[in-house]
Amino acid sequence: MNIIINQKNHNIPDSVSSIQELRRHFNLLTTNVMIEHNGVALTADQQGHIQLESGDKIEIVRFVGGG
Amino acid sequence: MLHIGNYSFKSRLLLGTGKYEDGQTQQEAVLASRTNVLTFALSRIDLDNIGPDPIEHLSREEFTLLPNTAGAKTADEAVRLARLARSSGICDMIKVEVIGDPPTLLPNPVETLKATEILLNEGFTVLPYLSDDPMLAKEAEALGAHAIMPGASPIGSGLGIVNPYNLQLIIEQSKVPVIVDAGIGAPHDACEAMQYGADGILLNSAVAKATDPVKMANAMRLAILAGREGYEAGRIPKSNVATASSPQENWANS
Repeated sequence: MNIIINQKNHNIPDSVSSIQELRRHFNLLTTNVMIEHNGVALTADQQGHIQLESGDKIEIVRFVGGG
Repeated sequence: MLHIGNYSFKSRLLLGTGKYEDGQTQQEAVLASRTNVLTFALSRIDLDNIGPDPIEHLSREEFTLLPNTAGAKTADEAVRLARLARSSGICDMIKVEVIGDPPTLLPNPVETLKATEILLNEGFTVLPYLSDDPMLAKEAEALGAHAIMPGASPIGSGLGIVNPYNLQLIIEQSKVPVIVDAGIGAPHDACEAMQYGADGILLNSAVAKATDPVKMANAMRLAILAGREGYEAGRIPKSNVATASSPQENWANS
């Protein structure tokens, strides 16, 4: 399935069906990241429930140094 | 104690986490500053190079995170970043930062106020970064902002307080905490702002880019303490004529 992550096209296996699984796929389960799904920021709870669909727009961000 | 919304902090120094040469120096500087609040920005993760997690080793009991909305050029973008930051579940404070264009990087007042209003309605603890305009500060306070963060001078410039008159007006009129944010160059700038009655200082470059960031972090801590003590002690009024400190007896021809 094709989804857009951080403005880039990604072809991911169909078995990756939830945001939680997407995090596992990219080895991000133990890293503090924040995720937006089609413009909506998701809490940790929501990440397990949201099902991915082809064409979804995902943003994965993290805290970085800043003032 | 510095009180912002429902938060209370022992230290009046809020420290940025950008621009350090390396993680070790940053960690030592943070400790030397004895800050309770660390600011962070949000950035898209590089999926090809995930690298270390910048907040992994941060004690959440010791430090409160203050994310900013750096990168936002509109209210909508700032709101989006704030919502993302809060979805982390580790903070609901947000520094609203809607920056205009280089070379000043001054905040866009219209978009900043718009974002402030939206985020307040969503229950965030909102700290808008503003230019040193007393009317703007008044507007932000009227909206319900939990603190006002006027810049001393442009971000990273190190110019110190370029308009002490405006800054003092903001401090005198504000009923919410005033955190002087951006432009601090040296400890005397931080001390000056605190002597005027500012409630706190947010700085980053002045420590991170100092020759010895750890030493400068401690210097800023002391300057802020000195300024605050001086403010509470109450300075003497300024006078254009001298007032002698010692007896002025006449010893001529006696």
